[in-house]
Amino acid sequence: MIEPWHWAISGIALASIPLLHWIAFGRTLSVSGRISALINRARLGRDEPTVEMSSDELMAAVREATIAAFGGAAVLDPEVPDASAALPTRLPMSNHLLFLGGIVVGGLISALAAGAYSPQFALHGRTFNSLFGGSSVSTAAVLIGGGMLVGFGTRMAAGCTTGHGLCGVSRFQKGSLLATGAFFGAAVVVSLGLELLS
Amino acid sequence: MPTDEKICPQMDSCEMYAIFRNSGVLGTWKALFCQATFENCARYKLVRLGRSVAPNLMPNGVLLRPTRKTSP
Repeated sequence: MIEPWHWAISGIALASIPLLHWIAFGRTLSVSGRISALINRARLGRDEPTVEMSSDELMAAVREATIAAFGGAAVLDPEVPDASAALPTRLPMSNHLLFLGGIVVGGLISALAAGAYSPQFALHGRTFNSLFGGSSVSTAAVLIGGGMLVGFGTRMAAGCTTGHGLCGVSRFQKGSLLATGAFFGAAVVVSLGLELLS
Repeated sequence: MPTDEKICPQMDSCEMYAIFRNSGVLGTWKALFCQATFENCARYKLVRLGRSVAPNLMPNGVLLRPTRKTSP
């Protein structure tokens, strides 16, 4: 049994990851968002077609679109802050791969460092074995099925426990509070329900 | 602090919102497509469909192109 980190240290470590991500990339950390980007790249072959534009060209195009949509008065304000500093850049696929690979490699290094690396293909819970049997086939079926449900729910909620739980809850975002409550509430209910059924 | 203001759940990851956020003249876009009626935003609709969103897609569905330059 590995001794877990003190909760305060774990909390600081968890909080530092989204902060460092924001500093490094200027955007909110989203693991499911990065996975979605990779899947879209694989599904579509490439990102949606875009036109390469400089900051000035983009701002000029935005102004033109604003005038076309709302009229010239919409862009007559003389107090116009320069928005070009906020121009976003799309992260390359290599960035997503490096990030997601880092999660796996980081976990591996952590397990190796703790002397706890012992890969196995089984879920040894009493409840699980009672309900599904302990075979590799049933384990694989439950893991794949569970993963698909998690993916579906994540897309439906427009975020996962990272985006909503770590980043949204800490900023008191109502949607994230609701989503995180639903994530963990459902986990508790399902866990207790399975326990009753076993 | 939590507010009752209705805002788009994709706001944090939206590349176009990052532009609107810092520009006073573009507040109309933000008011119409990032807040009360964000369900009408073309970018939001694509995200809900699980589609990739082009960075240069405006909330009203217009795909930005470089503006035509006049001859000197």
